[in-house]
Amino acid sequence: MRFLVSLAWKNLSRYKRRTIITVIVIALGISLYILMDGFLLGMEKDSERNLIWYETGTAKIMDRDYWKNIDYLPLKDSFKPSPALVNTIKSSGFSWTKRIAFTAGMFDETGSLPVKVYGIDTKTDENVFKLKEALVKGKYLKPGEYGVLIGVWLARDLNIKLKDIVTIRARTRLGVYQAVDLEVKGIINSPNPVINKGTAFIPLSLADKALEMGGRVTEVALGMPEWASPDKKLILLTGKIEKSFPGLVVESWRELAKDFVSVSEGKRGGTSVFLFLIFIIAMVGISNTMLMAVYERVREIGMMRAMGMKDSSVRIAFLLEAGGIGFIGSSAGIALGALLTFFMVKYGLDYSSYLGEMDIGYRISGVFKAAWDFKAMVYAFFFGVIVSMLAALVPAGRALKMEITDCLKYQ
Amino acid sequence: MKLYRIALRNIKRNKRRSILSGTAIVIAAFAIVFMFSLEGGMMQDMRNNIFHYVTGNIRIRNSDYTKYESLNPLNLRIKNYRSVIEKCRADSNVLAVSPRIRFYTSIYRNDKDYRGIGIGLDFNLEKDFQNFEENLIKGRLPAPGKREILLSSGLAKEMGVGAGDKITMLSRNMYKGMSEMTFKITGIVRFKVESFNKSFFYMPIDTAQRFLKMDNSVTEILLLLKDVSRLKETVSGIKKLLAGSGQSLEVAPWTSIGTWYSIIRMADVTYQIMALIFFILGSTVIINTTMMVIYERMREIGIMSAMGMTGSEIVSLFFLESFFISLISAFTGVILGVGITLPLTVTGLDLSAYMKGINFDISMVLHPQLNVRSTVLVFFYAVAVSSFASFIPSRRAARIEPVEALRAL
Repeated sequence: MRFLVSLAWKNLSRYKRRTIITVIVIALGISLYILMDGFLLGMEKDSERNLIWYETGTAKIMDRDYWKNIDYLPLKDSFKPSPALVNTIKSSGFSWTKRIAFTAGMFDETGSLPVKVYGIDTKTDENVFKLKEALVKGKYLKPGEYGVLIGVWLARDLNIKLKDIVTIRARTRLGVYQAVDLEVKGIINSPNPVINKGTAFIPLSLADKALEMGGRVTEVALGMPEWASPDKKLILLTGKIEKSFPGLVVESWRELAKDFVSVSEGKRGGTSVFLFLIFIIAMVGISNTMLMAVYERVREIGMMRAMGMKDSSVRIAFLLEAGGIGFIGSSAGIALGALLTFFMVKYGLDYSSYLGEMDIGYRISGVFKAAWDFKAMVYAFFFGVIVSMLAALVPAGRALKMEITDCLKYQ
Repeated sequence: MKLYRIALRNIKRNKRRSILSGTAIVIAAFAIVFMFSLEGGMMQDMRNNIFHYVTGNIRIRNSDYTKYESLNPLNLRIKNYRSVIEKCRADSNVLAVSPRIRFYTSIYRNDKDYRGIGIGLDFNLEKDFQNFEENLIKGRLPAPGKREILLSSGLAKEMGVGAGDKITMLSRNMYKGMSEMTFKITGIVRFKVESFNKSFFYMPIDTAQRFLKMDNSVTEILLLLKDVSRLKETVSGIKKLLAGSGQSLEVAPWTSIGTWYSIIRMADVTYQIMALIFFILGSTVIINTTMMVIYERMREIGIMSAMGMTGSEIVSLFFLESFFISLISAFTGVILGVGITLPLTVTGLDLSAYMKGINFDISMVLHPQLNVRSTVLVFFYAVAVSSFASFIPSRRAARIEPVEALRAL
């Protein structure tokens, strides 16, 4: 066996040109696959982020009845987050904040619009949401002040500027109408159009007072750093909450944004066809180069057999050699792919000059960014190695079936 | 002996080698053609949805409507819409028109308020636009003038109603007063794009005008053109035609209706990047295979030059070989791509298998679109890349001493 390994190694270094050509195909095939995959994943992640950072958080804890009727945001199904609940959340490793969500009419001289209003805890909100980063004009809210942050579309539609006074009217928890005058403290332009179109933010304590909430909130939003995978922790937390707080439910952002998730699954269906095509080209490229490399060496196989090498040993020697090429190629491919992905994750591809001056109404970064997909990298690595080994097996097996003399005469 | 004869003979002599290097070209050409069609199909799909459901090629509105759009200003309307349509039709490039009234309602049912977005339209004229007949899943279309409506599947499901039921809705009319009316649901419609199935319902335009007290006015008129490439001229033509209508109207080409056009352009950039990746990979595969083939034949080159073939002859011989192989392979690849794409254009590529676990009962079907120009481009690209790839190794080979080449492994 040691002999076979060293033979394979010698062959690899002896035919440098052949090795290099094969390695290049494998490496490029794999790195481009990785890049494409990361690129597609990046686009998907981008929309996910906009949801998680601006609307849903990683998950939300709500009253069971509230979740059932979430389309109507029923204030009566709110709850008081007890210290025990807070401890449970903290011990599960999530950051958290409290919010009160309600629908209201927003008035101005020009008319009224239905808006979704969030009472936000100005101190803890940024643990979960990135609202502060999306503030383009004015200042962030101070606790308890009669101020409001509104989305940029909403401001345009109602012709509202900073420091204007707007009136919002909503039903309180007990069902009576309440109206409050608020000063516009800031304008929000986020990458999430829903926030820009019809959402306003007021301090939690003001919402609490105005809506007669008595310390109740409609939701506790949970956050987690982007790189951390929340799924396992979420299952644990859900279990704990179900046991100790039977009136509450934990729903992940996937449940909270079901429509979005299903649309993006559909999109993934389309993009996976592209990935499949890339995969096909890469596979054909790798296997063809490999097939050719071995077919050209039938004479060599004949010589090895004539000198008394066993068929199984010849096969293993070629398998090892192909595996070696696959290994080098795949490693180079992973390295190159990782490098490309790294640049695409960090800097992205700036196409804003292509788009020119455009008012989409929400902030687009104008930069495509990729995302890391380590699983795909591992798969791609093994794919490179296995395809080249399998491809080598075919011509080697054929040569072994021939008579030795035919092998030696082979052109 | 002529070089091309030797080249052809060489190709025939070592069939396996020719086939191997050919397959690389076939697959690369096929995959790129298929990718282009797929992208073309996706873009076409997006465009069609935008044209037929949202903006048309050209959208006509009252010039103040867009500014106050979110307030649903029914009073900022297009008066005498029939005469406006007649004027538009005078432009020979106008293919179809769709007058619409868009309004918001609240529907009270089973102690709950549901929000619905109503669109009053002329069902006869919609054949070129939303094509209700094809997407009708239950019942029939509402009849003009009757108090009948068509619900989108999403709204029907949300309210738990079906064809034949009656619903009452409340809406702010043109004079900002409230109007209430009861309508009979005649049918349920489900479009292929899921977002058009939520909260929408449709009613005959004259019924909507009566309900909202709009007389003979509408909020917008969409136009489809015969030749979309003449968008600019047509817009200015229509503007001139409407100048004497006595009302100030906005005539907007779809490209100026911000969000939609930019979404299309962003998709376009994405697809161009993908195409680039395909081309890089395809070229690598083709170039490497071609180089491999020639490097493996060093000894043959040695024999030929020992027998007196000049360097330039050797280079042109290998160039011709590659050229012939790539000609056949690129053609096969393109034909394969076309052969697979064309039937799929008709039947559609069903991607619903990828959408497992989603309770949408709609299948996502993609119709690839073959683009003649890019298909031809792919053919020439494949031929060029592989022919020129032969230069690198053969020029090197032609330069070394015959003795060296003869000894090569």
